[in-house]
Amino acid sequence: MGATATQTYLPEIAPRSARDWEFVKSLLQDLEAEEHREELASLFGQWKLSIKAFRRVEERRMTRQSPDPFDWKFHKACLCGLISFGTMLQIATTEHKSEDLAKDGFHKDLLDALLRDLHNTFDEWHGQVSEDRIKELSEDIFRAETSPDREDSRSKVSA
Amino acid sequence: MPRPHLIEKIHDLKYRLREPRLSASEFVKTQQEYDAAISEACRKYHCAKAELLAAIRSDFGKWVNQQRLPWLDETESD
Repeated sequence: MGATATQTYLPEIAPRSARDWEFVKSLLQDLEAEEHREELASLFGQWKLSIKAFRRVEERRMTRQSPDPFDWKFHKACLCGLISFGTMLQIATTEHKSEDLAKDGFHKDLLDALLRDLHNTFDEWHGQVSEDRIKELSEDIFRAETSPDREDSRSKVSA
Repeated sequence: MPRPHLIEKIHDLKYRLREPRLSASEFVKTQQEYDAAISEACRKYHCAKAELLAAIRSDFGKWVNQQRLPWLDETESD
């Protein structure tokens, strides 16, 4: 294979940085190849299964009970891993047409939506909002307003 | 504790995003609605997204219980 993108476009500018990125780029080369669309779809499927498993543990350890310090760390580590892998998939599929990927069961719009959802979860739990600010805002939100149809809210929201 | 309708809507959309049988197209649509509801709430309460989500996260579990909705473990098997 000829010169790669970083060699071509970054020959003398920040060569150290270019070498670092070259390593990552080499990892992605296989994923970018057209003949490996099926592998991409397979990786996408595995990633979705990982998210599914993550959500179940998240619900059990973070939502239904008070998370302990290890829960917080594992949640953050797993979440960052999922975001990282999903972002790599986004990069790897840049050169592929959505229609071609869809033939192998890879839906780019779903990938994007899943990633946005994971980013929201990161903001929700690890957004570095101070406890004072959380308390202040919670009081603002839940203090003043009473929903008139609170008991039947889900059926109304779903309608 | 009073719970604004907009917050209930956000909880409901989040719950639906976790439903295991949600189709891909439904997930994409619901995720967009979830983001839109969050943005609306951020405007209403003059706060950043991370602040809003952190402020209401502990209320989500209470809402699920109040609505008597099943948890993920109760809706699917391994």
